Amino acid sequence: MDCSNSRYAHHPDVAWRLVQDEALLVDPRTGSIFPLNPVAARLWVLLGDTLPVSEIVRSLFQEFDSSRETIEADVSAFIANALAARLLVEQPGGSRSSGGESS
Amino acid sequence: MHLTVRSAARARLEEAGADRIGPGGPVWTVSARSFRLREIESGRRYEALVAPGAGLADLMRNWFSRVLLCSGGILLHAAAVIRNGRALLFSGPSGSGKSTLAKLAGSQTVLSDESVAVLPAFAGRGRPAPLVAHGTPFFGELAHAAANACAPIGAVFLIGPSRTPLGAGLCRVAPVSPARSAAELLAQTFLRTLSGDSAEALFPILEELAARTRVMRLEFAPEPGIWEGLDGLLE
Repeated sequence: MDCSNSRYAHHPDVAWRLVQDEALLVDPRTGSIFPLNPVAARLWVLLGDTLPVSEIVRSLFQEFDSSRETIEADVSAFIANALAARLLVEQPGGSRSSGGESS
Repeated sequence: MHLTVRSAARARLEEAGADRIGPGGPVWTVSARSFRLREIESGRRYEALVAPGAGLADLMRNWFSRVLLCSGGILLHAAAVIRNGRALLFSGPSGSGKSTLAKLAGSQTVLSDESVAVLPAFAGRGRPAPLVAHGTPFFGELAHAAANACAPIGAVFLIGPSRTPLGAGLCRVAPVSPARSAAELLAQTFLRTLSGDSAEALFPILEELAARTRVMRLEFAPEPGIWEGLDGLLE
């Protein structure tokens, strides 16, 4: 599934804070606490800017020493988990199509 | 200060809504499934509704936590011992070894074997304020281990059961990343219900603890020589 044009935003109920180059997320609805490593913290910040996923992948590829494929996979997994945990909400306007080629 | 405690059905407490902090007028200042505490007159009169069977100690810890939070501090589920002029904090859930460590402290000052108040000290304009650990009236197994004293924090140890044999030494430490440190310390506060406001209020002190103190995971053997072992690790 291609979600490269999708945009997301932080769920407004989630409290979060950068702690040095990491991040700490707190979901008061569930009492869950999520520490994020530096890459996930940067991804979280970029998601909060409601950038399309393709731009987020491009930014992370430029900032971190990892392959584009790995970053794409990690970003997809993070978004899927964050949506499942209701930490993110999908923004209207982004297109999501099945079977498309990611940028 | 006057505190009135009334019994209330648990269902009624659960209906009362989320906790909040706000200026002016009576507001519920502490809430949880088993109790709610309301300020009737600022700083003077309070009323608590407590569910049957709920502990007053839990209510008081939550209340104390809320008061500390207003001053930029936290109440941490931790034992603390003053060693060489610095407070060593040992934070972890019940059964992790806090009271055991306090019992091994010998003649050293034990701030608490259960709950420690952490507050930034006043350090003057433009100077970073050191974090200071204070003794509290709350104790675990050791009723005498609640010294009315304080000391700047030297290190914070996250304690728990040893996963692998310790080998020849009595203790082993491992670094913990800043966000994980903050997350694990947040889990050891006494705020049973955590609103967004509470979390935002807690972040600065947690960030300070994680970033400006040495936070390490500690596995240890409950032997008197633990203190010398810690000295060696902290050098």
